Amino acid sequence: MLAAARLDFSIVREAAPALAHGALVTAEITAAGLAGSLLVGIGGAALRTSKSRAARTAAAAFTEFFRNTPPLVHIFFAYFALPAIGINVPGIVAATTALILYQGAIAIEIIRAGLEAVPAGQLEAADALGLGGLDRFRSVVVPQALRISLPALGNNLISLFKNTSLVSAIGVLDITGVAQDVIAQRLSSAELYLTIGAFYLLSVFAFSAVLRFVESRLARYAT
Amino acid sequence: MTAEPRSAMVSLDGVRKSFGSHEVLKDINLSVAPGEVCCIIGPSGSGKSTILRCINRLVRIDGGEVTVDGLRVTDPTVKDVDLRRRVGMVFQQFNLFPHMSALRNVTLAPRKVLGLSAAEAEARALSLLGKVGLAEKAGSYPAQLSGGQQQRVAIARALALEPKVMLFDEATSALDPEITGEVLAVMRELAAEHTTMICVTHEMGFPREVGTHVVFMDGGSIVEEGPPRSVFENPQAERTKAFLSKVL
Amino acid sequence: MNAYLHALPALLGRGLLATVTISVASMLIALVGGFGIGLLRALRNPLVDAAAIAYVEILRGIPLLVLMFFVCFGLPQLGIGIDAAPAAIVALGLWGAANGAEIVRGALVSIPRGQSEAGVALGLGRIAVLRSIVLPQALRRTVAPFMSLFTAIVESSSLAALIGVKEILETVRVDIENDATLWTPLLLTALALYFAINFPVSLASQRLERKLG
Repeated sequence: MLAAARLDFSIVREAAPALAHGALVTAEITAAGLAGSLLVGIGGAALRTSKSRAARTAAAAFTEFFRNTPPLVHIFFAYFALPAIGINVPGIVAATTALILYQGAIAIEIIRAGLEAVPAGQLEAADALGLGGLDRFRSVVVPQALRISLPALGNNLISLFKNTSLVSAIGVLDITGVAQDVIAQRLSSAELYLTIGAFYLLSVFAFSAVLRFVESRLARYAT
Repeated sequence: MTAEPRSAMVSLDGVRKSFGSHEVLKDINLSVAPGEVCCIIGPSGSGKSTILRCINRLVRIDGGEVTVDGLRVTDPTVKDVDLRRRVGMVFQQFNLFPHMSALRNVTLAPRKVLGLSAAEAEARALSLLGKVGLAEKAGSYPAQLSGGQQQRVAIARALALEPKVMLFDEATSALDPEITGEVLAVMRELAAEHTTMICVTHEMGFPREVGTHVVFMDGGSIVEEGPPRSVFENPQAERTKAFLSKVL
Repeated sequence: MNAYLHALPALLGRGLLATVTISVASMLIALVGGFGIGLLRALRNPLVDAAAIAYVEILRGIPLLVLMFFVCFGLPQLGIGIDAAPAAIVALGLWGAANGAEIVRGALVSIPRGQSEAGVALGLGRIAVLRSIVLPQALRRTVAPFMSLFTAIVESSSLAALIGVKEILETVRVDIENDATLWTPLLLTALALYFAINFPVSLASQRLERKLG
């Protein structure tokens, strides 16, 4: 094929070490993003379902703002606008924090829906046994809510993983950033895009397979 | 409060409850002595299940008074937990915690509410599971148990706090007819041990054979009550007769 | 302050217009493509199914940014030249269509089997069952998810800035010129614009889901 003849994958071979390092950065940001977004998600969901109206409103405002605005703009804001008020952090920290807040806001909605999906009979049974609010939340509600939320949370993780590519926009050397770097030097791009595309695709397939496996194992805890 | 004879384990005096504009309980007066098996029968929507929930504060009454083992439900100094330790409840939908084994379902409250150690709670749980005939299913999860088995675990769970009175809210209604027997057998045994029981039921055999007091409710009021023989064989009110002719 | 007001018209005018244009165009592709693929899959042809699944999995498995770069910079290398704005629309449209296909599939699958069984029992052929019984019911269930997809497309249109399209974000970048103090007000304005577009749609979508769900 004429088009294929113009592909020269030796560029990819030469860039392999840099790309591998970039993949590591992608993995780090994803891991930090996962931990951070889950914390934001659980904390935010707790606030969203709190008795205090102020807490509920604040959490709702946070969630709606972050969910409805682009993560790329959050990253730009964290990196370019925050210095104006004296917050100067390395690009990778700014970008990761922005992603944590964005995916965290989505996680808040997922976990809140999961909490509300726990059948009312479960709450009644816990109350009838005399379990206090915190015990009821921790022992009865949260485990079931997490199992119910798992598929959606898994999707959120995959979305986070793909969104890490956005950090390249402010010069962070994740795998997309490395690819862009190499392309800037060599001017040949299709091979690299295909290669990092394959990296993301295979990783997502692996995530999905693990997710499906975990879901099937958890099925025995559902009546 | 005047010195009342403490003979009643549970008493409801002038209890009223509305949900929105719908009056579900209209001036309910009922007294259940220790060791009594009080069976509440009546058509759907008559308020039967609401009465049970008023006893352990799952529902807050709008007026009147409910007294359980000397504790007044409307008294704000009486904590939810004090009340609920004395009242065990078994639900129509079982409501077992699906992410916990049968054993853990039963040990949860003794540990968190009574403060029992893990070993003490486990010993008590195994004993109760044995009592309901499910000792060997202690490690099973609700999804692995049949409906009848789940309900029996639920009974063991409710008994674990050693309550003074047991409430049964249509305990066999969600079970296939062939399976109700195993649950009714457990309930019969509890009655024979002089457990104070208040049972809302559609199943007429139990009230007739085991009940010591039958209450017929309709439209939020108690229409007729008395010993099983009187209510079933010699109903006085028209509505009672109509209901019984339909279900018997 | 003066510099901010000076930069505002471009942001609210050209930038906003470009964002909306790209988003609407991509959304149309997503609707047509999504329904096309979704309905094709309902025909249960194994070959078509495999192709559809491959398309959806690939487009949802790679970052939109990489896809956009590939369409804009990679394709010319393979002989297919394309400008930045069309490249953004193509990439967003293809991505949107993949998500759209999943929305349609989800809606079709959510119609209880008993509905099509009843149709078949009445003597209707498979296509007639789809057209008269399943599709009308499934259609209602696609509205809210497609509204959510639109908000996702609007957000993702910001990626076009990275291939030089002068939509909202890129207009901000260009207008900054050398004045770094403009970042905060301009980005906040940009965030407000995206929010103003997406929040009403998101609210409406949530309300719809509560009514139908």
